[in-house]
Amino acid sequence: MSNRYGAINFADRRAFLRAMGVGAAAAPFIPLLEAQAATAPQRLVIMVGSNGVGRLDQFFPKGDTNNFTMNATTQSLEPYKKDLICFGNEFDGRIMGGAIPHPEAAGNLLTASAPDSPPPDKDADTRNKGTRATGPSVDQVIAKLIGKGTAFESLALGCGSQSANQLGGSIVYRGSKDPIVAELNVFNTFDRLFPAGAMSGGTGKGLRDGDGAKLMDAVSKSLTSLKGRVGAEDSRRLDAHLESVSALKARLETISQPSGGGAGGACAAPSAMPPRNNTAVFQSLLPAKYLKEIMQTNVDMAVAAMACDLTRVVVFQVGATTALWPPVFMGLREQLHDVSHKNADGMSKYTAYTIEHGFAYLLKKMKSIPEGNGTMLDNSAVVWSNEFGDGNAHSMASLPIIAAGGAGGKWKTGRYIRFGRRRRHVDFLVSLCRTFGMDVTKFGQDPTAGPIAELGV
Amino acid sequence: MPSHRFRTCALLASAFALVSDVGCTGGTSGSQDSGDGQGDGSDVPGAAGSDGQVCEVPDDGWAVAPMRRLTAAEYDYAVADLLGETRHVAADTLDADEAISGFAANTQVTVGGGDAEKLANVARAVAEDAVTRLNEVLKCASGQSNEACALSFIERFTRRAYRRKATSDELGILNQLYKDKAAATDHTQGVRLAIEAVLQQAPFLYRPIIGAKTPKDGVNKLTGEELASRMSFFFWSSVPDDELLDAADDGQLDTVEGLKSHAERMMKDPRFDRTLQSFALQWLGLGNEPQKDDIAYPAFNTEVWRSAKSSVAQFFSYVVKETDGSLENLFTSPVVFADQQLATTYGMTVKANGFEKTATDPKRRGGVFMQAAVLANLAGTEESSPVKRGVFVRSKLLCQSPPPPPANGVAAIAPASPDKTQRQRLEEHRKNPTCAACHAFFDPLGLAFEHFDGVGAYREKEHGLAIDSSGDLTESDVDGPFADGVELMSRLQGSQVVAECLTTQFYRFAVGRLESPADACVLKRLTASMMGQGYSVREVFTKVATSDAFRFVGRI
Repeated sequence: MSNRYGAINFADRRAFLRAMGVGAAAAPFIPLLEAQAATAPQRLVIMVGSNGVGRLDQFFPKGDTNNFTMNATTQSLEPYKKDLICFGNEFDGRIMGGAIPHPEAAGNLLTASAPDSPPPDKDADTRNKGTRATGPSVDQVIAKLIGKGTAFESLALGCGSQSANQLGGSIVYRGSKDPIVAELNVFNTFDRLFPAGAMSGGTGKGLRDGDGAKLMDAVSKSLTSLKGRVGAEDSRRLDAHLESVSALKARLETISQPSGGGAGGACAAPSAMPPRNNTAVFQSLLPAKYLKEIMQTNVDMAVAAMACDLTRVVVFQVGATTALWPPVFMGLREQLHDVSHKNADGMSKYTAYTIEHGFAYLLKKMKSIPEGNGTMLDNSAVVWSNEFGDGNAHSMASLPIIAAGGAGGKWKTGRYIRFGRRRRHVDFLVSLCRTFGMDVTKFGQDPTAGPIAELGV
Repeated sequence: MPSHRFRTCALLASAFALVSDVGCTGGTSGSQDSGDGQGDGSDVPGAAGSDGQVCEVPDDGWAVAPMRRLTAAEYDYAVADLLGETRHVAADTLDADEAISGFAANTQVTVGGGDAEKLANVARAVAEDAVTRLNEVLKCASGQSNEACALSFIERFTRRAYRRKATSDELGILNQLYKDKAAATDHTQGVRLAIEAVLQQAPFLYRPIIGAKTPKDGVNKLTGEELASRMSFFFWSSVPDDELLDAADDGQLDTVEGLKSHAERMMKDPRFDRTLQSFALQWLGLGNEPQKDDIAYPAFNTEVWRSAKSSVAQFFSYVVKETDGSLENLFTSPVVFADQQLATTYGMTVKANGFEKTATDPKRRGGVFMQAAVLANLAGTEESSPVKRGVFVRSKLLCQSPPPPPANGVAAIAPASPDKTQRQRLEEHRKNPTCAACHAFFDPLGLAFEHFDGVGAYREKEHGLAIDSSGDLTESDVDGPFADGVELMSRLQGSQVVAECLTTQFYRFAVGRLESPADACVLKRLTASMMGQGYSVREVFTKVATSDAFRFVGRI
């Protein structure tokens, strides 16, 4: 690791992991990945946009099952068509009888669960931030299955997603009314994932000098003691805190374990982090100007973490529900939310931009990592979606969903699937669970017609 | 005709005032005797005559206190007070706080996923910095051994950090961490580890309020230590000092008189400024920098925004501390605190470096609402926003919240054009009866401030067109016509509804939740009692802190 910011390449994945100081947690799983098996998807990656996709007639592909072309907004995916399973405008996610506010739509997308009742007051400030979903999101359910034992059971990374910090607006839910806030700071993410490469003082290094487990035990004791004194709702919050402390302790305890040599791979910390020692640059990491840079840094880090098997489940939140920043990087001078209501063409262009520089970039990166006889993309189930189809109408009808990746041989890609009728979007979530081997016929609270036969799961 | 819809919107918005009446019917039957308020276990709401107001409420009218977790700012202030830490490590590292009604409370979002690691990193950074000032932090007695000094430090440190005496079990764990680390490395590292541990412990991070039973079913009274904690976070946004904790141990905080004298002491302390600043910025919704269009407002940037925010906090602090703290001064005082960054926006010359208290033309600009940061925040990227400003006046000043815009197909207001004013474009928008129902309720109040552009600078004209900022205030207790924002604010400063609304917001800030029916009744009466003698923000702080709503909670 000669250069902090430069490429860090290791021929030996385990050596890299040791150097990174987190690796051995993943050791039991490495043989699985290194096996040439293509039996099941190893990873789930979801990227979610916000505020709708602009003009619907420019989004969905044209053509039939095996012979289709991407549309104007999704043009950048044309080179990846063989890796995609596209759907038409037939997914329907409508709840609450039709139009739905942004935060509730965002909460519903991956949970298929009803929003919580609104707070019992007339305070606009509280109410307009929306309510939370009342069930876990699909990524968290799958993470419990495939993420156990990895250093990070799941990651939620945001860019320009400030409102995710409010009551509503999150898309990832650990459980009912328990949102996971997407990390917005790329340097925090880097330091968590690759602590030995951590560049600033303090972060990440403190816990790894031998006292971490003792400290975490002391913290757990104090939390447990307090838990006995408070009400049920507060007790539940302390449980989540306890779980976070145990997970941290488990990661710390595995650091010093020795591990043997192994085959080479593409496990390497991302080489192109933005310089953090330049305050001006750091402060200018604003979505209004640098959305692409933040998205791509998040993708770089997540793909690196997956290559090292530090995590197997990643959700990217691109933008925010009711985003208040203007996408000036593409000449749009109104707040993104206003663009979605006033300027459908502008919103289409913005969506095309995020698909090109976010989703297509993600596919490119995943395809560039060889694994077994194929690539990381072949072993993963990847999904792109948005809280709305038509953002101006706040409509979850015609919900855009694009699947990608071979899902470890489970998915037959290169198809454009049409049903000839509307289906609930929860049917896709059910299929996603089944792709990962879960024998389920429903998900969340939304009534489902069951899995999508065309996906073969 | 839109009349039916308009009524719907107005009725919804007025519901807040009606809700406040719940539980306020009894009123005179509580014991009014003497108010000696001894902490003898017989103290029940109303009995102490704490605010001279009695509310008879059903037992389930008292809400339990949801447990708060320290906000990033409170964490940073606490480690400043405890350890002399001057950086803002928590604010730089932790996720944004969760707000209830605009005030950071952290009563719902959990510490989950990677959050424990963030808290660990913050604790580590603060502890490492603290031991660079080891002698100053430890204050060892002369001749004391390192170990004796460290253990005595841990006991003193936890008392303030936990806002109570640590139990012997808790001290045992911390002492052992120190001893093992000191033996393995050295004294300094031992102290560092003990500090690092304390800053991650539940009693430091969380603020449980459970209380002790009163004779009244379902109602608990806060213990002395819980009151010391609630007081210190209310007045200082930080942990208590030893004096306040000693007073709690002596039972002084069990009486209204004791609380009052500490409230007065605490408002004279410089730490009170933290709370004033924090309240003002959260009440006015001044958080992230509003994004402005480079072409429309080339001079607006991060530095201007920071100055503008600081300027509002200074104005608020000035009104509370250096004037009578009346609503009249808060809403109309023709003063701004301007520095070089704000000179252009305010159209004045500022000679000195730093901020200068400067008079404004009282016919044009005055009071907290006409500060640049407030007006810039309630605006679009390229122009002012009468809608945002009007909604703000209704919701934050009158506590009347219009419902959110209809979710289905929001009809856009016509974009800025050089041949029409905002008023003209909004009038077109209101031709749609669905929109008119609510816009007629708040647009006129926002249009009062049309002489201020999207960054809060005064303007005579909009695109060369004359500005009409006149309108009628309706649905309030001070209804009537106004010519502009200055006249609107001078109407509102005389409103009891506005005074009640402000008291309520102080209370939400103080306790981190919305008021229960019992609290709402107490606050309403408390405000009413002040209207004759003159409402003062300083007095509200004291009255809230000594009120039954502050001293009692529902039983878990």
